Amino acid sequence: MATALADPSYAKQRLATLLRMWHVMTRVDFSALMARPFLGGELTLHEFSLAVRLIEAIGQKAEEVGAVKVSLVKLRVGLATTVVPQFLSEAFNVAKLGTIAEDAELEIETDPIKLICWNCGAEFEADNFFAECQSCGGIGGKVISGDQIVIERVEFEVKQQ
Amino acid sequence: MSDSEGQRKYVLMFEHLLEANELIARRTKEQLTESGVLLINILSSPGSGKTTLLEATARALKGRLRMGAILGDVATERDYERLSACGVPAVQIVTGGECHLEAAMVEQAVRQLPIEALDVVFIENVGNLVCPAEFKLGEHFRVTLLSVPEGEDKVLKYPHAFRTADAILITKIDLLEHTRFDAGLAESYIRSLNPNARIIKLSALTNFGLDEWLTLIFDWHGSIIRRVDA
Repeated sequence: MATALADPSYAKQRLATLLRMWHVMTRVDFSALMARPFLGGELTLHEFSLAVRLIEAIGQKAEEVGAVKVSLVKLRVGLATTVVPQFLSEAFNVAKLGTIAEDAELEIETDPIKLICWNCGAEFEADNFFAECQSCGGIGGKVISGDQIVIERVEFEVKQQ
Repeated sequence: MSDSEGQRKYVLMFEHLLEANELIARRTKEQLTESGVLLINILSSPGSGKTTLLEATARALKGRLRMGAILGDVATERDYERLSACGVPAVQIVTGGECHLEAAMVEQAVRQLPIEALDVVFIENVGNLVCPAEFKLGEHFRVTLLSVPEGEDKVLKYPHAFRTADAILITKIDLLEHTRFDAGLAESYIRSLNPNARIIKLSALTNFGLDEWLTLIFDWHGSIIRRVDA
């Protein structure tokens, strides 16, 4: 197994399996995508499945508004999620191929973590879960914001009336 | 909310990316609650003792609660064979590279289990402390394992899986004397992240802590049944 993991074609094979699985579950056709020679950079898989979900959601919206093209997608990613924005961008650039969002640019804005101190109940912003409360010096708190991934805005080009 | 300016158009969506997954998860949870079946999602890194814990749990629950299992792995059906050998109805999900289970996979797996003949179903998630934390599967409760050889700083390195857990089991506690694992420190890390989580020290080999774990399962199962009665 160790040699299989070191082999770059293994990554390609894993991705192909993933795409087939997604095809079975979502009936989205990835055949155009699978035929392309991509996979230049690092691609972690949960960001990839999130990118596929993102493409699906904006594809649905594009259909609703009668778009011919998606030009921009604005996403907010909380720092309390497991998502690495850079990996999500790379995954998006692969997942968008052959879809209505093929030329779309993805803008990711990160949201800070907001905690309510376990100790004194003060609300404070943090970049990690073990941050110190500014009021009492206690460590950590209940996460009240920053744990979500939200599609905020999508820009389309529509057919001229 | 949209605005048209000739050829360009934008839509403010404010849609949660994982909404579709969570919808399926809620559906699974409701269905199982109605059937009086408790669903527990088990998260941990690879090799921290998920399958061994389930084997010990299956032996201990025999004749008390009827147990089923959904097993997620990147490859092989080894875990399926181990649980089947304990007499547990099991469904193996081979994800083929995907690093976590998603609600749709679990919904399908639940359909393959004899739900009407079960009281509790354990999901053994793919061994990984990162992505599985992000995907709700329809579980009533989430349990994260931290094994002694991994070291207490796993909690600091991978906070997501510990932050969202209802219970944290410190497994392989029989190895404590052979390692530099500081259980007090581990607990204080967990407390600063998730003060309400139940922490149980356990060894599936010596059965240390197993009774406490079983009591928790019975309490959780009771809470599901009461929800049905109410």
